[in-house]
Amino acid sequence: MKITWLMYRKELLEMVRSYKLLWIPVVFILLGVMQPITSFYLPNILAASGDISAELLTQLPVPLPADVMVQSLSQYSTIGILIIAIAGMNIVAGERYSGTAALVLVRSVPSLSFIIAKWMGQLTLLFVSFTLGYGGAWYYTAILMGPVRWGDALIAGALYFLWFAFAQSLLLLLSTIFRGSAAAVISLLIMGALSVTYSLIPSWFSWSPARILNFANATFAGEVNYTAATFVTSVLGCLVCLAASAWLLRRQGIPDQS
Amino acid sequence: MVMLSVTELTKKFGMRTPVNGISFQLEMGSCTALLGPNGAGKTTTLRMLAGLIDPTSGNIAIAGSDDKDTQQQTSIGYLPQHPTFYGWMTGKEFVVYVAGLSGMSGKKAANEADIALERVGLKDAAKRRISGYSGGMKQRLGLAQAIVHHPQLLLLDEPVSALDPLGRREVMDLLSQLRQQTTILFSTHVLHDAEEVCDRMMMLRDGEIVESGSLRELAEKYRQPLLTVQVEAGTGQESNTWLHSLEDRAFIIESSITGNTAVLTVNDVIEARHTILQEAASQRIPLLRFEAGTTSLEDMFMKVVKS
Repeated sequence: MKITWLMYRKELLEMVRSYKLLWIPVVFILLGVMQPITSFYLPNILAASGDISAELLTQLPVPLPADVMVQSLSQYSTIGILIIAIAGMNIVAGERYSGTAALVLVRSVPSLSFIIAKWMGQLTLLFVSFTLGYGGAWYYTAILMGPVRWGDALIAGALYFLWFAFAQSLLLLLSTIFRGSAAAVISLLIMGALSVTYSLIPSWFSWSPARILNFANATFAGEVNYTAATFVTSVLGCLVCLAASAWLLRRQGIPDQS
Repeated sequence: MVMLSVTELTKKFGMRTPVNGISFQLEMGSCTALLGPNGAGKTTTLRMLAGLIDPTSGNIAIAGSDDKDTQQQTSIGYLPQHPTFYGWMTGKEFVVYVAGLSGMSGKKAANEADIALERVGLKDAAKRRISGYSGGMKQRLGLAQAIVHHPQLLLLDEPVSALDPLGRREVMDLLSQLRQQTTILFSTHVLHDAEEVCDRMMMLRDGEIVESGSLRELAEKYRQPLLTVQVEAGTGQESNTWLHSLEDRAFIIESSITGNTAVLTVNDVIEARHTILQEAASQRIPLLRFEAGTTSLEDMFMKVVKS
């Protein structure tokens, strides 16, 4: 426990010193804030481009706050996941192949502590980034489009965070197995496959963690039919990834030079 | 008491077998050098002992226990051949961090880190980022992190290979101090380093132990009388013919002749000296140099490694 805490603090310090704790939140804020702002100023942008008649512009519907929130969130489910994958692809592989893991794991450090500390560190980064970004999106939506219901926004945000946590756990496992870029590509493929299979054949993949995103979007519409299976597979998926990473970490052997 | 006991340790990587069934024991408080040419399996052996890779077969018992969990409790200090650190940390931060990982509380870790850094001569650079360290400083930092938690077993992989002569001297002195307190196993391909601090040597070639024992035993075993005979150059055929004729005498074990110098390993030095000097005198050989000595450990090393 003490060791996990120590390693977690090291993870945070590393993020501060490598400016990860700065640039990822900034990207997330931009990502979140762009959506309400572009939606609001769309008529002005189109007018400036000059090709569109004035009547048409006045007929452009002003999007509902709930719609804008859903659109903002969908940015996170695509570009957000991509950033998570790129920022975290070397999370374990980097230490294994550079040799720093050798100096750490030769001590009486349980593999699980090592993995949990990494996971917690990444989740903290994600939490900070996503909270700021989503908060920004919410703020601008409320100012420009109208009020958003508190409960809906919070639930949708929490659901997205669960999806991110799942993505992060998967990435952690793949980063334990493969070198950096392979881990990013494979985790993106798996996440993509989960989303695509669910949207193509929802009835078959009702257990799919990708369904969380549908829950989140449906929250704003008001009607959600939660299924326990989705949550069970998501949470179990996280735990299995963590356990497998910890188990594989030592089994694979630790190279001590690059 | 036996600190480390290794039986039939083998590691295979696909077709290659860098370590092939080695067995040895280390007494508590001993200092042993793992000697061998490049690619002999030294690093693989040390990494298995450190628990960083699993052996293909064989058994490692540390402090009498071959259970992995208990072994983790026994503190091991390990210095890889090319230690890498978190470049964004300062030297002090890194040593404090790993001391914490070895179970020291915050304050104790900081104190011990200061002591360790001072011992390796990094006190002045302790507050600088590791990314700005030179190769030698990284090697010293590696040593500091290996000793900060007072390990019972210290495994060092080529601790002085990357250092300049001054740093080498300092590290060797440090090792001499450390051997009072802990069991040391270090690998090197330089015999001289091994001779200096260690009391035992193990020679590895192609993953097998080809020779091992205490320094004195080995020196005894391989010490053989050595005669060097040099004749004057350009004095005609006779002296060279005579020099070559020496190779076939009964007392010769091994000989090598380069130009007008013959280096002869003999079994009976008295007989050999008598014969050679007498012949040289009677045949009027223009003798330039005649020297009697013994083979060194260096010769042994070359011989064991090449054979």
